[in-house]
Amino acid sequence: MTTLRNMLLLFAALSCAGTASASPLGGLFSGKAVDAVRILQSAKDAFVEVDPKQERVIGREAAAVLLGAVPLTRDQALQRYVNRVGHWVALQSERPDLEWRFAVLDSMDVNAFASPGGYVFITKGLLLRMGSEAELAGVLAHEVAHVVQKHHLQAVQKGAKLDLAIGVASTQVKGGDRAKLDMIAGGFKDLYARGLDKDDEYEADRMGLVLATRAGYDPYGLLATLQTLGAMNPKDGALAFLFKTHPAPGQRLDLIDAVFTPLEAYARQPAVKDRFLREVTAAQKRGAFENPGFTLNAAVSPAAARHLHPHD
Amino acid sequence: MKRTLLALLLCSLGLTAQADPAHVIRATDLKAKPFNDAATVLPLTEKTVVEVLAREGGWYKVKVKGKNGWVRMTALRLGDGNAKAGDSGVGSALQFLSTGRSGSSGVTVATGVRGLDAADITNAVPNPKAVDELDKLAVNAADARSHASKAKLQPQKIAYLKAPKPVAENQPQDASPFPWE
Repeated sequence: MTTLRNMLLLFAALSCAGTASASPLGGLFSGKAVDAVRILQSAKDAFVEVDPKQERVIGREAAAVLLGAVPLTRDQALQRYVNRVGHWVALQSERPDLEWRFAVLDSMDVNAFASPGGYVFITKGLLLRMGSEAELAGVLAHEVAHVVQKHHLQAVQKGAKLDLAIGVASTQVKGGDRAKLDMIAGGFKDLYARGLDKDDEYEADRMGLVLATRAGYDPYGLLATLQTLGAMNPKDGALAFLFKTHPAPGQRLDLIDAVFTPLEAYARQPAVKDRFLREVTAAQKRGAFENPGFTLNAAVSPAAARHLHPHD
Repeated sequence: MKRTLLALLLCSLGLTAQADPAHVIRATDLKAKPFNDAATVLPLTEKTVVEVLAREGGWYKVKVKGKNGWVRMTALRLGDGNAKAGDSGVGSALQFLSTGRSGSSGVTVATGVRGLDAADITNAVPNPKAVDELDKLAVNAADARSHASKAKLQPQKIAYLKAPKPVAENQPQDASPFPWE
């Protein structure tokens, strides 16, 4: 993995060299001695200033990694519903024009992911623990914030930084886009496995709250989801990966509580419970969740249980 | 057989779903209505356990010491604050459903859930075809807007929230992230 990271950063450095002829990296190809610190600087710049097209190509590789680990839930109508909610939230961000792609992953694990360029994923395990569209919007908004802030791009760059000097000395990269893309995939495997920095998560929480509230939803959606996760057994296997890669829900709630006041004015905005429950119930009846082992969030949202079994 | 299972399951939900425990994490008031300026029914001290009946905006409707009222969501955490490992706090019904154990009868309704882990990601073979499929499932901005307006969602102009002062860093290192354990 260390090698992959080295190679990834080298790729970043190479892209930079390709676009800026005055780059110190010119030396790398003519066999001159290269100042690792200067490369480091250039590589950093290359990733921070990656153009939207490159960002999309990189994001596509990152998304392919996630979809290689977890398949999509096979239900077009549900997928489209989640896209409608997510895209509406993303329109409230500073990057409304990205080609936003939202998707439900077919895993009972409780988690959500973002990839650069506008890809956002939520597992059915998390979706099924929610009780309203405001909760869904809150979680999608958190992921949209990661994309808007380019947290993953920057983290991949940061993760590679430490090993750069060794990497440049020992790694040779052959040509071909595929090889470069494989390096990117490797960098993202590493990143998704270890998670983002806590501060990036807290920032995405604060921004996500605002994005969902800007979209007209009950601002408490994300808090309700975090409350649910905080009350689950932390030893639950479905939570292990989320808890390994994110701060604890109680900690996130504490930090949200400290800054939440300006959003209280919007507490009367709709949570859109009925439509959410209708869509999820319909998907469940179509078999989209294939006997997940529990019904819709009944413990946390009695309304969900009533909605699912109105005649029982 | 299926009907029996469903009945068992619903029975269990009925017993637990209406009374999710929560605990007070900082002193607050039980209010008669979900407003800050509503009459105070009872003052609540830290660690008081209440039963959550419903949520409305930033308020939970709760029952405590025989009285009903409203408590700010931010003053509560779901779970009774004393759950042991193996309990799922609020999710007694959820736990029943996810483990498939129905208590006395021991009927299994579903298999356990194995979560994702880092190895699933690091061993993944990238699937670019699945990424292409996302294009077919996507919607355009006009579609998203029309969907929002059907639910009467009104866009708002709101500034982002500033980061709080780093209080979290000063907490003791050994504090468990799961204080109820």
